[in-house]
Amino acid sequence: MRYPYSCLRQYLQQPFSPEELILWLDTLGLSPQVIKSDPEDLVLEIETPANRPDLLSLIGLARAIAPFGRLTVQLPRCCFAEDLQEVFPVNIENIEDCLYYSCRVMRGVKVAPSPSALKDTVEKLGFRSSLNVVDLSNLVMAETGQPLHVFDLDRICKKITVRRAFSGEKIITLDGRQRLLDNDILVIADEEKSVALAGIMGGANSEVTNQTVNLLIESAVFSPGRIRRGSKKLGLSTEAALRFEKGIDPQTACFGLERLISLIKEMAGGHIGPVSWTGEREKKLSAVELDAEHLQTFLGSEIPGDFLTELFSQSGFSVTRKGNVYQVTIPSFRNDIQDEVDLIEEVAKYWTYERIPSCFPSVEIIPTPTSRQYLLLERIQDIMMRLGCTEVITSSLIPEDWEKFCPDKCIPIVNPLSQNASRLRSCLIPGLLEVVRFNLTRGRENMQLFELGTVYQYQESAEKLSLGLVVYRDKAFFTLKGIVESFFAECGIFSLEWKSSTGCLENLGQLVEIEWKKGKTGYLVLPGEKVLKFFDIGSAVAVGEIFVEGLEEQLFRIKKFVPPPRFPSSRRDFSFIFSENVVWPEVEKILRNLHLPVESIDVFDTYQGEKISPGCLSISFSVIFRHPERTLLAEEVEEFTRLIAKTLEENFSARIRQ
Amino acid sequence: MDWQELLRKIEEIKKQAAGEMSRISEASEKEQWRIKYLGRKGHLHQLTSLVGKAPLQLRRKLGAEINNLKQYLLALYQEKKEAIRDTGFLNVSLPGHRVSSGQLHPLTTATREMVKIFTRMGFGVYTGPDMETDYYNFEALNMPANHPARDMWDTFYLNEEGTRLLRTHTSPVQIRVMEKITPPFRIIAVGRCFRRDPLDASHSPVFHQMEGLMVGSDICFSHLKGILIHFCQEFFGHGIKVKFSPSYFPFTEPSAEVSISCVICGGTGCTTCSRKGWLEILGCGMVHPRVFQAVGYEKDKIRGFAFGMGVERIAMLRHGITDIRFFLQNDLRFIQQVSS
Repeated sequence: MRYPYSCLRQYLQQPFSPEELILWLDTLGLSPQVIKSDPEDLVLEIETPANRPDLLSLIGLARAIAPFGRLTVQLPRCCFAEDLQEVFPVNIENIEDCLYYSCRVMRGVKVAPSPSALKDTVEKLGFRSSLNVVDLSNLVMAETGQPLHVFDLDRICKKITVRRAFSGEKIITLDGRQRLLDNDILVIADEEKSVALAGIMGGANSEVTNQTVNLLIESAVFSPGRIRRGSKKLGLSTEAALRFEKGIDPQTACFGLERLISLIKEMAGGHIGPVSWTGEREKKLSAVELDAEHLQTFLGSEIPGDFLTELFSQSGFSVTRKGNVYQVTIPSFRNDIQDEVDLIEEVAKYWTYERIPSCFPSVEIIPTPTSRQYLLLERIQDIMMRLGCTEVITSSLIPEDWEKFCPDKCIPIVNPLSQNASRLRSCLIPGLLEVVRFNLTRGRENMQLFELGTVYQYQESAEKLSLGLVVYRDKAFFTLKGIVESFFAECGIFSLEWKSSTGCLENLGQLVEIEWKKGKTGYLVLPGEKVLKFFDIGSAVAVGEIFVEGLEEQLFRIKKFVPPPRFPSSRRDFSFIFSENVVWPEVEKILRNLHLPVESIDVFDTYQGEKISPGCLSISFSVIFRHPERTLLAEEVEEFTRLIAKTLEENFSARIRQ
Repeated sequence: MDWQELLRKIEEIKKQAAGEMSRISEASEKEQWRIKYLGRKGHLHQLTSLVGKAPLQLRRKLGAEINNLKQYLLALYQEKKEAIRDTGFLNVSLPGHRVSSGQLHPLTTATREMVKIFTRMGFGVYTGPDMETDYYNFEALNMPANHPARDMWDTFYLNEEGTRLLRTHTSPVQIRVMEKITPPFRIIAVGRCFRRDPLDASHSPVFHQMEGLMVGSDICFSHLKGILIHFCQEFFGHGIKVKFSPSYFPFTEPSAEVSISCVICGGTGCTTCSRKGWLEILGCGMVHPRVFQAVGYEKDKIRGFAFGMGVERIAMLRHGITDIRFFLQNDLRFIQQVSS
């Protein structure tokens, strides 16, 4: 709803300026937005907190600003006489659903379109103008916060019952739509049918028209939870539902009814029946204690007693004081105040947060440890960055048609915004390929990317941390393999096993599994045609995932220092032609088994092509020899070299490349 | 030429040669200098030719002075020769060879910077699961079923009953931490959150938050202000102003919203701050006693404050990023520009 300055002014005895109004609302944190500002009037919208239904009314807002300007709130007058005997029978099926229900009969009312002054006011308040009695009911809702409903009395059969809808029951609401109901939804019914969705919207079958002369006017207090459930279920949020789901008090219901009757009588005449009501009319006012000492220690600011007593009385709270303790009786319209902290907040708001000093707490140094999980994140990000990879962060919610590119099933979202974000990713691969596609279309050529993110497992219904990698460039696979090897080397792991025999993932491509200590610790994929076509990427791409959670111990290990060797090393380079399906780790193993003083064996080049026979592969590698206790002689190294050449010839039929 | 004049001239050449040499930074210039002073038609040679014309009694003295000068010039030349490598012509205007290294995502760099400010004040860092239960995301945070405040967070559900969901904020970590450790403590939590908000320039259904919680027996609102003002000034610069205004969250009371003076216009009003001069950046408050009750703390003896902020929003304001979609889109031009 909207709050016109001109309307608000009517509920306060003393004058105040539009500028003051905006300042006060700002101070209360209600974020006033100016909708219209001209010399005649100022119209505002505000952000009302979920716990303040009272602010959804002009009187409520007047009460909220009154303490700032020491203003006095004046309630509008209700003036009429009952001249009918007719008590309409009402009944509540379950008091849990409806705390209080009341109504009055009015007969002989001149229902007509609203006069222009009323129409203007109602529109200024943000409602659409309609017939006079309907507009007046909206006006009273805006004034008091009490939603009211006007039925055509002649279309209601005998009596009113507040009950749950039957399963499968149908009603056409005032917006012309048919609604299918169930037992969760509360309705207002007469003896034959439902005539309204309680607290949400009236039914077309009892709607007031310009033919109407007799009215039944309802003012009730429905259960907030019940109205909220109904409104959610039907997907129907109305001004009335918004107020009921936050809580209305019976006093407001009584006052709202009297005010509406009085206005209808004044504008459209008619005879008035007595109130018929059921439920609980009197709500016991709650009293909350505020200890001034608590207030001070809670806020860190001393607030004078005079300020408190004046604020409470200005806000309509009655207060008695015993020493440091204030006994505050809370008016029924402030259902948000239940505990001492609520009063503390109330005081802080009017004292203003700005006036509360700021300072640092003085505390004992009791170390609060940082979780390993967070340290793990930082550690891995740093390693990957050092290895020349750039970090990307993609969405956890992926399109339905990406699921086929994940090795595992994905957890579906029950209420997704769209099919494009309807699954929780079970791997990082498709997201990374999408990033490659996105950047390729923007002219990027080479990419080395990583993502360290959560993946969600369908089977275990659990989540785990995964390190996704993608390389887009020449020799993508070996670049990626090198990055993975370097990553594991950083973890102190040099004994990975690469299993290319595990085959192929139908939609993704050729799979290479990475094992460490006989456990699967990740995998690489050479994407196949299907996925490359889907993401519109050339073939120079390789992707993979490393399951980092098992590596925690390795990543946090304390490195032990080994003194650098004291004696010099000798390096010899070799170029051998092998069969193209040679298994390199086996070559290395056999060389190691010669038990020569070998420090390292490193491949630095491979060649396949015209210069050598087909089906062959030339591998160039260097061997570093070093003896821990002495300098190796040149003749010894030559001997080792001959031995290596001989071994390779004998075991792999390898030939020295000339 | 009289004797005195000759000596002055030698001094002058010394001074001039040293001055010129000091300005030389290239091998070619150094050679020109050598020719000018030590060359066959150079200053030294000219002086030497004067020796023969000098009166006999002065020849020795003059010779010694000229030799001094020669040694001095040779030393200057040698010194420069050792300083400049003679590599032929070097066109230093050509671009350097850029080193390409890996970079962190702007969300990571922003998170780390925020984390650092708090860890310097002794806060520990925690994380929690993205897939949460209704209890941790709402109920334990003083939002029982059908609480109207639940509308503040539009939620993605993982089951029909609505008991399993994607967390809408990092606040569940507060509960999980309090269940595990006893006060006093101070922690922050970082992580991914989900809200059922359609994607636009300022909303993303997947985003990140940083949460903070400090609990002890004598924590008060003034401390909340002190810590958060310090954070804002460390992160956005010490010139900014920080404002606290009332707000509502079911899990804090009193609740506040923190705004900083607009980082774009400095507070005079612009489109970024909707002409208000202030930018809302985080929500906070004193932990509601019912939250302490939910985790089994003695609510009358324990007090604390909590705060939460969107990492994307904070990073956007800091770097002048106008669209939240940049973060998950991963345009490498964006990442490389913003990442530090």
